[in-house]
Amino acid sequence: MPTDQLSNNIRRLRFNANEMTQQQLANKVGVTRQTIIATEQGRYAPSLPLAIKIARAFGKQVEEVFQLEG
Amino acid sequence: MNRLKKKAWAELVAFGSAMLLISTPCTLAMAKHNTQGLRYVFIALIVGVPAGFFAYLAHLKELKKYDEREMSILRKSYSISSFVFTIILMCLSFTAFLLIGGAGSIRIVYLPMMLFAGLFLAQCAQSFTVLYQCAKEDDAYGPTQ
Repeated sequence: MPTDQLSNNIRRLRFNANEMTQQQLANKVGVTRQTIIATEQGRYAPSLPLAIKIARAFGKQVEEVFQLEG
Repeated sequence: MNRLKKKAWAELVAFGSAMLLISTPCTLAMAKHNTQGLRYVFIALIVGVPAGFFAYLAHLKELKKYDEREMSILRKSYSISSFVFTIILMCLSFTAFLLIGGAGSIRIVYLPMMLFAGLFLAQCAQSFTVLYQCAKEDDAYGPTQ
């Protein structure tokens, strides 16, 4: 099994988007705040639809928000 | 045909044949010796299948309120609870067979008791799994809302 790690820039992008809160982002993409926290900290790898929704919330491409390491 | 399909077909054929070989004589014996009992099995099926179907629909409706991360925790807990249910039922069945059933029969009351014990422990395992996962998250990010 591959041990690829998914990293992301959600925290920085939230800060750049008028300091958007985790709750606001969660509401935008239709998940709980805990899911945003887990994703932001790299503890949870979101599904492709959720990753696209998060990227769209910042007006970015998925690759600009999420990167595959390893 | 990919290997997953091959595996599924092989298992289906093997277990299907085994079940057919075992269940046919059992059903025939039951029909011969206990016609009344067989009638109750059919009644239970007529009541149980629609009840199970509606319970399943209600369960699906309830699941819609969770997001994908919560669903992944729930899926993990369901798989653990299914495992616990299988193990408990297996242990109880063998215990009943080897110890209680040594005289050739067991009291009928033990059967639902075994089922409910399995269900109860499986539900406990499921709840503990969810609580454990949430506690792990609380440690990492602070209390969940």
